[in-house]
Amino acid sequence: MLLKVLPDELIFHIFRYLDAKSVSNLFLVSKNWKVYASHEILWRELLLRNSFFKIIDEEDLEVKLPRILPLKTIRVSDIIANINSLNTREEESNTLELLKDRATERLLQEPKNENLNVSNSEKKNIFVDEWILKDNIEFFKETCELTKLVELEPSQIIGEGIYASSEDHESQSINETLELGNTFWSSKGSADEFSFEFLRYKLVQPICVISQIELIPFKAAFQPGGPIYAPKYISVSVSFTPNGNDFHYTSELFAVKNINKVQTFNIKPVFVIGGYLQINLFGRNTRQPADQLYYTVLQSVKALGLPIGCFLNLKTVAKSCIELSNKLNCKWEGKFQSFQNGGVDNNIKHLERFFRPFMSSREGQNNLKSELKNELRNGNWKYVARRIAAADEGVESEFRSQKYLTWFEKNAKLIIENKQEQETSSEDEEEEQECQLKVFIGPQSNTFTEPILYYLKFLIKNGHTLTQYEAERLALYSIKKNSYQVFYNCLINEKFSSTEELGDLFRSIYLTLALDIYTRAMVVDKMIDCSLQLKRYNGAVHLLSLGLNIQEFEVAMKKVYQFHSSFVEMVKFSVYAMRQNNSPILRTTLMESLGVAEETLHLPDWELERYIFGWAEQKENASPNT
Amino acid sequence: MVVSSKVILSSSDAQSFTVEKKVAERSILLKNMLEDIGDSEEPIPLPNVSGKVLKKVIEYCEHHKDDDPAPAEEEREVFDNARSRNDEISEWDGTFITCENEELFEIILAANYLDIKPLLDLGCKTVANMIRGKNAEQIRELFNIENDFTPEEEEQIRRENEWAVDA
Repeated sequence: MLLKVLPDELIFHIFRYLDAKSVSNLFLVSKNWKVYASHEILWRELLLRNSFFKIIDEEDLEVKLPRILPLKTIRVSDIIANINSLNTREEESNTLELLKDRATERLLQEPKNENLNVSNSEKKNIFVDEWILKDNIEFFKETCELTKLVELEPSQIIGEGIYASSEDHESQSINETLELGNTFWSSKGSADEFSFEFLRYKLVQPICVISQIELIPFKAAFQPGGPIYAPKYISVSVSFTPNGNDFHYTSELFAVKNINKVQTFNIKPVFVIGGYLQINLFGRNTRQPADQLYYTVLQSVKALGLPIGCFLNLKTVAKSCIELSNKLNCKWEGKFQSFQNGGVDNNIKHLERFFRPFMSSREGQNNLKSELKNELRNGNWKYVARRIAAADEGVESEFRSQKYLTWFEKNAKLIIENKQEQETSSEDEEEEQECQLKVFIGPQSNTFTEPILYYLKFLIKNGHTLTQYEAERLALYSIKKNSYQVFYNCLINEKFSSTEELGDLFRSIYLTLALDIYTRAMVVDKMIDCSLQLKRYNGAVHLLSLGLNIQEFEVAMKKVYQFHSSFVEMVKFSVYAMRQNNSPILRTTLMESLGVAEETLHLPDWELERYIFGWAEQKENASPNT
Repeated sequence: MVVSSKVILSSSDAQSFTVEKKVAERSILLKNMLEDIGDSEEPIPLPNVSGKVLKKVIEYCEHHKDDDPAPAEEEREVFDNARSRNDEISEWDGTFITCENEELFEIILAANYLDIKPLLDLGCKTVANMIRGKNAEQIRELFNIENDFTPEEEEQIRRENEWAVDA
């Protein structure tokens, strides 16, 4: 009644302040309200405001039609414009100028780019004239939903690597970027700091929504100094064919940090779909010590988004995507071949049947999630722990992710706090008996109060491999309980992959264990440090000799003094170093560093040792407390 | 020397209000009008606004008389999107707008008629906040709207919007 007082225009204005969900609720209020609430303009606004996808192309605001995908190709001018628009500090500007020139050069060398601008304008025409959404409101609503899906449940959409611009060694191929753990792809070396590389991947399905790229630059811990080989900038190009000249979208340039950490780059707010993806890698940061050439090396590449099989229930969007993809020469290959012919409607039905198993496994995953939630609410956290530990590798693997385990741990702890458990079930005690973990967990823990510990125990008992996060938790508990047997057993049986971070956890507590982990993870710098700290000079010298950098020896000798405050130890180290290397320059450098170069110049090797030991002892006796 | 900086406003029920020119100019309608007619002792009739509501509106304009002037007409559309994002309501505005539904709607109408954009936004935002988080039945109750759907129609709409119904 009251709202009837307000003119339509104002009712509409009020609706503009609501989110998509609230507006959808209004459909049910009355026929009148349904008309207002389903107005196209309202939904277009909602989409622009509430969705991270930017559907409208800012370039031509005149055509106020939703566009799912701004068509762009690698155009040299775009790249330059992008580089120019990057916020850079002044000292970088020179480098950038150079990078810009070189990038231009490289791109011009790509043979077929010239033709692209022609076909690009054709495609653009197709797009504006024909790819108009017939049922806009449905499209907007579904895009809101799709946004939610992509945001909340994105998955890795890269299927396989298909081409790398170069490859240093056959064991360092593009597909190594998709493997878990410490594997990597490496470019060939180049004397040119600004050289260009790319990695081209096929996505899991012929049509995928792409929203994010995650990269980990590789840290070569086995090389002296542990250099990291990140590119300076990346961009992402997307196509529907495996060819490098069919890109319909190229992202802006993203600056990459030269650190061995996950770095995320958002393609959103632009809605991008494609079947193939290329990561363009511009510029290099680091020379390899051995050959002084620049390399780009990546440990991991992930593309996050949603394959079309996951959103077929959003019929209008899915249909639009298929129509557009077909126009852009989408290839339905391999197991998808049967979708190549036939109309879009046919395709959708066909696809639905095809993906039903996949969808239902996703559904199963959601059901399992709510089941576990219920069990946890009812206090059965042990059951939940065992169920998570038994999760499949495939779709269920996310149950063992840090995020999920943190959620489990938090809630299980709350339960334990709220209702102090009176007794452990007999089943648990039985397990306790047979489990070698008894020592580790300690006899007092008949009642587990650490849900994660219970979970880890279960994993280990069943012979599972541990994820990085699980291994770290196990390490932290070992340290807490000062009991390392279980951790050590897992280590030598390779139940988890050794990493620098794991070693760091033990560095100040259990040096030999840390050294063991660093050795497995090939973290040379820290292996040397630990060896010096443990007075294992032979090993340290051996590692240093691989790099053959005289200065490194000098630094190491100073570290020996830092660790042990003893001239004798320093001399011991230098003796090992000289015996193993027989290098006059090394001898002079080390003796200079000790401060006895003059006196030892004329001495033969066998006498030198006696002399410097005597020198060190004398010096130590002279000032015993320093 | 100093020309009168007062303006007299006359409501639909013939109540007169004397306000500073600056206050009256929060309303784009009055601002344009004053520019057209120049300074005048004559009261300006506002036949669409009751005395009770006009008093409220003037209270709002008094409080906000020193705010930045409203952006010009052409710029507005550009700002529309950015503005909608800002759901925050200041404390004074919140207290001011807390009133009976009927009065709230009358304020919105008056703000629309007098073209006082910030007040219109405030009113619409408040109504939107009342709608948010409520289901259809609660909204009908709140606004006293009759349900004119058949159960079948209702079910149909519900099915179409399944995605929005869940958490």
